[in-house]
Amino acid sequence: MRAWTLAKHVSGGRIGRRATARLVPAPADVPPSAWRRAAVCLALALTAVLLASCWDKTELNELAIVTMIGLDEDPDTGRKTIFYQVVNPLTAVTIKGAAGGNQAPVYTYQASGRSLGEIRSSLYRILPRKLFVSYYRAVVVSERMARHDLRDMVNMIEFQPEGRASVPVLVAREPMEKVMYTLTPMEMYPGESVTLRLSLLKDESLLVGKRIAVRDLAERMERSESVVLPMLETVGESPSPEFSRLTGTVDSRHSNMQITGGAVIRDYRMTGTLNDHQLIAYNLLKGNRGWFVRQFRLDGKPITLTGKLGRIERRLGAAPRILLHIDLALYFAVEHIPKTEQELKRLEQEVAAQLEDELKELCRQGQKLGLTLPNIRNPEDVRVKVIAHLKHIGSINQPF
Amino acid sequence: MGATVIRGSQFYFLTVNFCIGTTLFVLIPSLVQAGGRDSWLIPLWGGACGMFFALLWIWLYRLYPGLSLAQISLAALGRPLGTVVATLYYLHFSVIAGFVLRNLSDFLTGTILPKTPGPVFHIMFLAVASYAAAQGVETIARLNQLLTPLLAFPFWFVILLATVNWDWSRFVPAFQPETLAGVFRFHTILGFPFLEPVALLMIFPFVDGKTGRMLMAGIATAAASISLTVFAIIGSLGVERTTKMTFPIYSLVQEVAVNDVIINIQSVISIILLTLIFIKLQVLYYAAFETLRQTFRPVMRWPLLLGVSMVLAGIAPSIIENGIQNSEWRKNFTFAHDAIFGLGFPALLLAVTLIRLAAGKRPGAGRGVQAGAGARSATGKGAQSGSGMGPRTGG
Repeated sequence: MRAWTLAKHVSGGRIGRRATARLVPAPADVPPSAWRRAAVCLALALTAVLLASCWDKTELNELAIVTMIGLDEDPDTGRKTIFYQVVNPLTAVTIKGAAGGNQAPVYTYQASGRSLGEIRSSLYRILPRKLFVSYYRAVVVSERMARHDLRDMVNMIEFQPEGRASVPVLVAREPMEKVMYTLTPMEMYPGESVTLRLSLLKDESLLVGKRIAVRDLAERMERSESVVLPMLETVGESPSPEFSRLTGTVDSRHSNMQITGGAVIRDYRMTGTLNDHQLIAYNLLKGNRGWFVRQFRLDGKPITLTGKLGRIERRLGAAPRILLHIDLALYFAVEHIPKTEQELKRLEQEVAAQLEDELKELCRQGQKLGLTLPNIRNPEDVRVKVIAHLKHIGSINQPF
Repeated sequence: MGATVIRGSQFYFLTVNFCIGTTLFVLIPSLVQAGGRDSWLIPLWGGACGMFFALLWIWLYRLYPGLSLAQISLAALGRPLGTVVATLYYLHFSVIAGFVLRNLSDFLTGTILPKTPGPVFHIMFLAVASYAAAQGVETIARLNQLLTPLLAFPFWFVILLATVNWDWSRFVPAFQPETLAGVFRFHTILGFPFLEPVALLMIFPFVDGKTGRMLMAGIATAAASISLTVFAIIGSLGVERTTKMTFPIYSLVQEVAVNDVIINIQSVISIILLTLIFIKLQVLYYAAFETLRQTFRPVMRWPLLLGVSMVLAGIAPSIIENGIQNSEWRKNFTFAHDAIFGLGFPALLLAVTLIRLAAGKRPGAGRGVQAGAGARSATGKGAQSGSGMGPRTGG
């Protein structure tokens, strides 16, 4: 019983005191309220000195805004090179006739060394502004680096807290200097130009897959799956900063880049390349839904058809099976348009058979190229079946 | 008047935010490392255990209605021993608050504010926390109530935006025996966060009704939220990348891109996490401060507030040297450390109380205690609310 008396005493004392503290706003031993308010204001004003912007403030005109990053590694010497393509601040906001109107829209900065971190910090020998990578649009790696090892690239991108890993990776078919020092017409910034083309190619021609960002590469490699990255090469005799828009030429071949073919990457290494037909077949097998246009042959005569993946059925397990439903359209069928139901059936069967052959062929070569399909161990085991249906007709029902 | 009484719903939101607090951005990598594709199960079973622990605290509180944890230890163990236990609790709350502060500054310097020194965050947060703690529990509860919708809606909205990268294949094969073994071997989750709500026992006496039920519901909601977040992170980022990242939830939001217009919205998640962490710190600060105040009963409060703040400002930079130490600590000692304070001492207090009850007048003693406690709370609360504790003393 004694304990409870003690407890009573303790708690009674406590709560009573708290209640008093609540009821009386200013105990006698604190300064009058005016003083108190002044002290609080002063304290608040002083803490404002500690607000974070004193250390991490950045001004827009102190930044070098990166639009594209290029990486190269010499497999023999291990010497690495980083290219940063930086927006020219004078052209970024230019109007016709204003200062900077005839300057290059981007500058490419290049630095080499043994480690990517060292290179990045030594970049300020040549770059007068703070590197800002939050808005870069693409990463380009050289083919020799891709054939050697891509881990460095993935780690470098994932390491930087401000850089997103959701930008596409491209493999350069030519020396990096050539690619990174080439300007593109139409879109001012090559990085932007390349990204826009990738999304068009994905939707309109199925030559580019959906998962080609750094993050997809990292994830697929860790799962021992393959990724097919788009490849980049320059167009034009003498690609140089003198660029069609500036020199006033109409010829977009003068200086440009083009996206051709696909590089198969597996275990962080490039193992092979795919041509356009193989790319379409691969993207169909992966279940990508974009339009593709192909010229098929029907009774020895050519016919151009547009197609899109409708439904895909995958059965995994010991005997994996993939069933593809292709929706066909006659948007570009200028050679021949079927007239009867019977002709149409034949067309569908023929197209399905030809596509099926191509897909099977790709699966057969899969092992050699290093290709994998999601959750399928060996693409050679897959039984592929294609069913084609005409879903859309074009603006004319018979060619002239 | 009801000045210091907070509503059950306010206590519920306080519990939810307290449990989620730092968990979302400190624990997820190690959680996914342990449980792989099925790691979203970990918070669920952890939360179930947390509710079980909460029963112990509720039981203890039912024996001493109207008393906070510090007062309970004084009442149960007597002045000398009770002071020791209460002081240990003060240290425990300070240590957790130190971890919370440190995690916060590590997160900010690691992501958006790399050049700002850590103590700046500590001192600024402590300044606000000490001010709110001086204003009392009602202020804290109202602040939290005001902030909760501002936290919850943007949080789930950005998580929803991030699901554009969703891929169900990241969950297959699910429920493999070896990953499930990892799921149930991850005992850190029991300590952090589900043994930490013992700090909420300092707020118990102020809650106006349904305290126990609200605590249980809060823990369950927090467990479900953490589980759902982990599920979203696995579905959108994949196990392979999540385990290798320091702050997966930040990277997740960083990669959100809506039509190339809305990109780089990671500061949204930074602010949400910052506020969540602040609430956790606030509760811990209050608990540490009140524990000392109720144990030693100083005449003036401001030296105590200053002292608590200074100790915390000292603990935060020195408690760990780096993130690797932090994760080692979590892996090896968090459960043991939190179990001493979340289970050990409450069990001790409970045992002592039950023994005393048994030794005293057998049936009457129990009722006597409760009636006495009710009287205590009535005298205590009488000045404030008059109605607060009285009706619940019997149950």
